[in-house]
Amino acid sequence: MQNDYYKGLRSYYLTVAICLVVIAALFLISLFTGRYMIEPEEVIAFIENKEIPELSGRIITKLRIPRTIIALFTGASLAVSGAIYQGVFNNRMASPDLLGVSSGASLGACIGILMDLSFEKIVIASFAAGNLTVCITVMIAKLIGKQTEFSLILSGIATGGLMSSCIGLTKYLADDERKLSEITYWLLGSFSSSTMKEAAFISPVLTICFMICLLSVNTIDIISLGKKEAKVSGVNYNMSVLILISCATLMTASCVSVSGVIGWVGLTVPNLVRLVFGNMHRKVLMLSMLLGIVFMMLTDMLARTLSPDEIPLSVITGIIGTPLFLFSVIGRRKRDKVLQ
Amino acid sequence: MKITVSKLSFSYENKEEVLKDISFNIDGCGITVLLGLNGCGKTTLLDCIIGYHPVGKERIFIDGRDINRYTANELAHKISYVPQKVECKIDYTVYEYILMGRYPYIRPGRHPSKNDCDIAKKYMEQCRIAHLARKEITQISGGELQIVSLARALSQETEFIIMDEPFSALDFSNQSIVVELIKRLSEEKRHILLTTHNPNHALHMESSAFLMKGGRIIKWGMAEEVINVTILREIFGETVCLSKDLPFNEVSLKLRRLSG
Repeated sequence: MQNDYYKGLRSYYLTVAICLVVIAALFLISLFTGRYMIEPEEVIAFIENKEIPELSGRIITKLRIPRTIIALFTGASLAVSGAIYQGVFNNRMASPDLLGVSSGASLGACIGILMDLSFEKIVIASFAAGNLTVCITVMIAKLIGKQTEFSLILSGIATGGLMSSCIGLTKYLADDERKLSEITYWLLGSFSSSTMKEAAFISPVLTICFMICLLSVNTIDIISLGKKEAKVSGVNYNMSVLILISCATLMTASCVSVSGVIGWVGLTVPNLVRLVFGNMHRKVLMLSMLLGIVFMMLTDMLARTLSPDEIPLSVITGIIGTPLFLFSVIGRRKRDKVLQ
Repeated sequence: MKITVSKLSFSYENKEEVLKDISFNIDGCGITVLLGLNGCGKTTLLDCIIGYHPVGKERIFIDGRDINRYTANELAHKISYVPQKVECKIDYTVYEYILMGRYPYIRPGRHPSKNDCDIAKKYMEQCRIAHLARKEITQISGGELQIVSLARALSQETEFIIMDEPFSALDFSNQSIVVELIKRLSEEKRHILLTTHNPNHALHMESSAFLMKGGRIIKWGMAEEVINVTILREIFGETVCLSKDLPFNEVSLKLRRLSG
């Protein structure tokens, strides 16, 4: 028993290694799959820095690479932010939608699209609106009263609802056919318009967030014990919660602003990890990140190969994510019965 | 190791004062029991000492240093805490949960060392809960969870251990296990400060006792000396009788039909 912790670590490291190999493979595969098939030999030649047909080269550098990078970061950040919200709010059903962040960030981006802003401004608008939503949520939670964990969730749902209505309003105002379809399509989530500029914009931000989160895995464990126990276990509770929630929010908002709303990843992936590997956040965060990447890359590949037109990502994540989520809940029940 | 409380008053959000002008001094190893009715301010007092409720300057000193000058981590090396009820709803295993008691000693992002695992295991065995190690904390009974939470506090290895109603969910056999454990800890150069509303616990543990009523400490001293019928009647009302004939010098609290 004394070695339980280290025994568990072996299978954890093995899984991490497998995930890394799978991600590397998926990265390569995603470079040659899509509507315009590129021969694997050409991709290998491209990596070896040899001459390849100009069209293929341009598709790889201008479309496939940025798209894959954004899929990678989106999957990782949605899953990690979900895991953080669950830990900090001591609630396994929490997800990035909980604080209304997704809805808030979407509203910002919708307004940006409506006002014909450039990409950078849309990202900033979306990020600002996401943060504003968090502030509103926290303020309402304080007005509700003492039980901050519960009232925060409650006010998050309310704020999210309000933001969704405002998104409806922007759709109503966008009578011009082009914009309405742009907003609607973007809201369903897509990587098809990803550019290198977007990838370069979000990668450093998200990498810093990941590093902060992976360094605070022990803190998340302690915070999930509740405020009183956390304070006596050497954690500066208010500051840590603020930093972790801000990181999670920043990750969600950045993803929403480049690729629209993609549901289910933040809820399903961490819950599956918790089912198989337990709840220590050191494992939950790292594996959620890796499996989130795998999940999102697969989803994106399906989205661009299943039909001649791109299928919106949320459609696929919903169809795959819902049964997986139910499996994680039911699986947990069954496992509990076996243990008893 | 020393805790000094001087002229501490506390109220929740400008309401009536829950603690009124409390001063005391706890020094060296031993057991101190806070005794009183529900709502007399016992838990609030503990919460102030563990730094959960912010208190004014120069009200609580730990080892001679104002509690406000401690960082959370420094305080976690001095004081550990056993809550009355575990709030965590995430299903960690018992072993993982106890291992978290070692976190104040682990640097950010690092794994617990083999030594940390050994310490967690040691206290799990000392509290006789080794058989629960792989169960989830959401699946075990309230009494078991209370002992698990005690083991977590112990693995923090602090000189001061503060317990809020550690017996509230325990059956008789577990109560005696915990009483014995607390006695042994007090012999190992630790000081245990706990609340209870059962005077017999104080008598059994041969502890010193603070008797609280209405936010004040009305009497203190060795449990043997301060716990007598007069003072207990003052706290608990006319339901108490103290019998020298009972074994182990116990008091018995009788339920009386309320007239009226």
